[in-house]
Amino acid sequence: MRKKATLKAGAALLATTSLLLSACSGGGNGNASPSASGSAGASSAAPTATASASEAPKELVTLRVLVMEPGTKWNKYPDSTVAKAIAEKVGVKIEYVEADENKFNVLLASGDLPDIVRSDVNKYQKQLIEGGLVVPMDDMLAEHGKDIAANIPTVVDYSKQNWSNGTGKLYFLPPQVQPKPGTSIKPITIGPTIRWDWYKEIGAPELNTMDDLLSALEQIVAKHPTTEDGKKVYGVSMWQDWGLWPYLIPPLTFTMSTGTTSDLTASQIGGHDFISTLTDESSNFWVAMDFYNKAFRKGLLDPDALTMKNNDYMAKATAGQIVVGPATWAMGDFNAQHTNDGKGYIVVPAGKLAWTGGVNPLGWQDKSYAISKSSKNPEKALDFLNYIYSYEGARTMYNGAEGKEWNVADGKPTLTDETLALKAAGGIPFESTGLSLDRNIIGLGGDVVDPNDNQPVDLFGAEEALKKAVTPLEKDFSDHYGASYSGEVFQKQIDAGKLKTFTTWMDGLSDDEILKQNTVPGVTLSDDYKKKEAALKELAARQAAKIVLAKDESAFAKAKSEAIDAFKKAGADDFTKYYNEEVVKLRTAHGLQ
Amino acid sequence: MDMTAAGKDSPNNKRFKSGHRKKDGYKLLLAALPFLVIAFAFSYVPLFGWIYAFFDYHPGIPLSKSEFVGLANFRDMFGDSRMGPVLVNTLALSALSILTAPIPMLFAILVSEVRSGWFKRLVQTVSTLPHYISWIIVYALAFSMFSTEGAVNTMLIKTGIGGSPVDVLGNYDRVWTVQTLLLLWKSVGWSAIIYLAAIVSIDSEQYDAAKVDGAGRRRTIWHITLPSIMPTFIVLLLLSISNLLSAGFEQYLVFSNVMVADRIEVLDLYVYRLGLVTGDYSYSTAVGMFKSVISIGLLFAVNLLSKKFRGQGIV
Amino acid sequence: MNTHTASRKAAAAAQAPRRRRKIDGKDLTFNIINYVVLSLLIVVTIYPFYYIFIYSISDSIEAQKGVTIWPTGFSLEAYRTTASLPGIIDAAVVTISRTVIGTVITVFCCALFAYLITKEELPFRKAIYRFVLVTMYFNAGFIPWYLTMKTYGLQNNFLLYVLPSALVGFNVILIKTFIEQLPASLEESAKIDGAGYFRIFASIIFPLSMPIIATIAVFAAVGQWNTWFDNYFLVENPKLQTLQLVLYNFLNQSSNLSNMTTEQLNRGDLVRTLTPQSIRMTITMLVTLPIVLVYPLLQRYFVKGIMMGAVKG
Repeated sequence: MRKKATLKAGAALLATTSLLLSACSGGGNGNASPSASGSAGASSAAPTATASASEAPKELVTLRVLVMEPGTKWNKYPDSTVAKAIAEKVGVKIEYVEADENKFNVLLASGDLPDIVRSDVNKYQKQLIEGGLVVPMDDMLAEHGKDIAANIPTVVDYSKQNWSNGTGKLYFLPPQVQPKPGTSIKPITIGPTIRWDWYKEIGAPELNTMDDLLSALEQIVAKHPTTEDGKKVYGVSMWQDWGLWPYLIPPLTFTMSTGTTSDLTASQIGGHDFISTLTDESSNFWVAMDFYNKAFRKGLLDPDALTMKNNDYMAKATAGQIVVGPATWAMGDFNAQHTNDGKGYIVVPAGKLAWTGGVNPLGWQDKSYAISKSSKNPEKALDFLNYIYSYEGARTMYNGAEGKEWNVADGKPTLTDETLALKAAGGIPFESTGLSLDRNIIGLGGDVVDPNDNQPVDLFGAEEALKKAVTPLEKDFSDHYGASYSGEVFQKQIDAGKLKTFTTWMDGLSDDEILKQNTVPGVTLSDDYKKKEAALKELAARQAAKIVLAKDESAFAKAKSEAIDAFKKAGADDFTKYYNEEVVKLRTAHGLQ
Repeated sequence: MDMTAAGKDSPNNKRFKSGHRKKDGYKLLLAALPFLVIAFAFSYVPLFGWIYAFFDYHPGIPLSKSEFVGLANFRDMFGDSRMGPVLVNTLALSALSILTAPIPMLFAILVSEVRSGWFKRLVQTVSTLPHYISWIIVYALAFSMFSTEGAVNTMLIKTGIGGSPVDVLGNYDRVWTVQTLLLLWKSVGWSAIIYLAAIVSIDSEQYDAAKVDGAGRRRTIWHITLPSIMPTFIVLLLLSISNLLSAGFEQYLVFSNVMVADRIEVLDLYVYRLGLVTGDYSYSTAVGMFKSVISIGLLFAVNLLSKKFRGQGIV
Repeated sequence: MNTHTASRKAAAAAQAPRRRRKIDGKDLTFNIINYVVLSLLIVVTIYPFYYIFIYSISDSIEAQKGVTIWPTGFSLEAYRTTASLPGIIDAAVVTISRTVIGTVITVFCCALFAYLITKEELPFRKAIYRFVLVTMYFNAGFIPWYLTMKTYGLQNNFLLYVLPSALVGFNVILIKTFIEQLPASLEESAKIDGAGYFRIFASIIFPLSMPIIATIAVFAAVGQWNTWFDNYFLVENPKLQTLQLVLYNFLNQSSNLSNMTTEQLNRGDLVRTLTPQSIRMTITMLVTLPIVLVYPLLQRYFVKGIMMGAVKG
């Protein structure tokens, strides 16, 4: 779930960043959204000297990795702690080659793929395997993939079965595999993200429904009609360049209803009965419509909410003009500008759900690794993949080297204070260490527990580190609820049964059962349904504008029934029916129904 | 030798002339050859890619293993119910930009009438500046000017001219006008460059003669400047008609929002969005091919019209 | 004494234009309206650029809250960071080279070809002209383009930047239209003097066409300067990176959230001093200023009558 949000952010950014430079006169199709190929700095890096003098300097093999996202920072730091560790342990130097869909298509057609390809397995497996562009790993696995075989056997089996285009071989391995939920809650980033100082001022009332939220907003805006700079304060706002996101995600905390592979259908978390987002009046979409329309009629809605882009929204949040937002990372630089005065945006407990937990037994499938046929060093490539799925590799890539970034005391690995301080300060000094710089390149999820020391492989997520990393804002918030860090605030309410998480429904299931439930493939839409889905989403966004701006109750009711009619006419119910049938088929095939 | 070099009235002279012309012709043809090779190598050869439009092609899988689908992609394109409104938007926005085509020409004339050298250069240079600004920045600027809290609305309210904020970016009824004005603003100075070049090449003797006849500024503009740059205007006009289906892409992508989306979605934008969803390479190839063919067809059609009405074509 | 001469000079100066040219009422109104209209246009076209400028020198975070007339805060960090990007100097050299060489090639090829097309003696004249013109509308897609260029050996090759754009249909049409409007008598008389086609082209047609040549040069130079997609798809050699692509990558890095996790976004990484927006503004300033100057440089070829007189004389 968490990933879904960041992915959408990525997709939206991809779309916008593709327009940055001024008109390129020879722009061909005009729909290129380009990015980098190997940066200048990277290629000049000499083989990195290994730390230990006993080892003879190895000849480094450069492995180029195709990544399908623009703006990665890996190549920027060829001498990072992590890059050095990889050079030392595996004898390779990793270089990213960025590609958008256009460039990937070109490389697929010409067969010029770099050594390793990181792509969406569900989308590209047919092209990659049938085109003979990737090689199976099976024969090399015994010698070069011991940790893969030992640590992620489920993924290997699943991959052979479902991601081999019917050949039964191992081609793809997704990163961030995490079969069990973590133990401690990191700062929650999605949910009602409210101006804490103002919310506290009105007594931090409970927010059980979205109407509660609305009345809290009303009280706050009445007290603070303008910012300190004299700018108008709005209760709530939106941005429009992420499709239906502002309608589907914010209500989730209150409804516990979520989509999986399509925005048009949703089920209760852990459930398998999907309702239509558009024609079922209890869906997130309609809860959101109700909320935004009421906000509009009470004058709490930003009048630019229906035309703004994410960037404009962040700017308003930075200026402190918005009382509540949907996520911490949407609120611009406000918190960073008020690090010491306790003002700021924070996710508060609300509704029924704490946006945390969740397991990923199959990893992030849209970033799956495969070794390309054109690679001159397929064994080395597998050595590298093996490293990222090893506990040692994962720990190093998250946290750095033992004895440097972290130490073992009484058999327990602990991050040094310097490392924690570096992370808290953020920016280039932390980035240049390469620690946790790109999670897509780490095979094991951060909450996977290393059996050697019983700590999560990502020590930044260990309770001790979380306590040490508390900011003044977080402290004030935690104090109010009698906790020592923000995650604990939620933990207490979860323990008390007041809030649920994405994994609450798994409580009481055996490990095998959890795995079984979570390895059912999601519904893959056919091209026709994809087009239908896209058309319906466009229609929904346009109808939403009319509904939100309805002047009174009767206008709202009218706009609502018109919209539902339009959705039905465009095939929303047919879509839901198809979707549910597919779900049943898939679950039956996996022996669950 | 003697025979060919015979006197003027000899019939041999004609043969000599035409022979000479032929020789010249071959020389010219030889000179043109490298250019034909360049055009062939860089523009015609890649057209082999149009074949993808007739297959269910997925990059990576060789064409020999791809399914031949004939005209299915074209049928999809015409059978799409969204295509109607999309084409209406495309044609409307193109037509509006064609309607504004005389403005850069008029602007060039105004500039050419400026006597002061430095002011002229200033106008010429400064008016091209918007051309260099990418659309995404134009959007940022427009938002800072025209949003409800933007500079324009703030000013209108402060000065008491407007009561409530005017919504420019989300105005469904005026979106075509707004976008056309933005495009005009961005391109007026840049497009004027061509006309300025045409104006300076007008023989100054014509102006001198007109002055002697006592013609005023407006009459010289009307009788000398305008007719002299008319051919350039016609050429550009006909070219822009042939580009009817390419109304622009980036502009509408960045200025699209839910309030105006229905009227701003042009062909290129629609195909781009569809591509994001399905990633169907063959379909986009089919659309690209369709656009090329329509453009070339339009070019020759308007050329015929031009021949009929002006007695002179452009190609 | 001093004031006396000064005022007399002023009087003479005031009289001078009157002697040269009669200004009647209509002309005066025309002038006033003209200057007012053009001044307004200057304001609306220069303000956006000014806005970009003050945004780029404002404090990046503060600028989000809005700038209008003055910068909010002051910071040159965006410029410093951009200027110190690795490889940016080499990239600038590559971009300048491709702009100069590419422009020369385009201008030469288009002008010569357009001239050839105006010669009625050229066999298949119309066919040849149309053969080149229709390429304006060709759009085969990225894949065939990539494969073609690769086959020609243009991958990782500087020639990729300057060769494919040698002949541009649009330019040819403009130059041809221009040449056709030149007085035919000039060429005729040169021909009688025994000059060949290429001497006529070099000594008469080319100099006479200077205004349109300069125009095409501006178009071509700006196009070359801004193009990066050829670099993006086909050139990986860091020595051949263009400025636009380096800046593009930088901007992508600064605005990409997709490879950060929510935890990172939550605290550490939001301690940013530069927003993508201010980097975008800075890049626009840095990239646009040099190329904006190309047009004023070439404007001396836009001076009325100069060339005509020179050739005739």
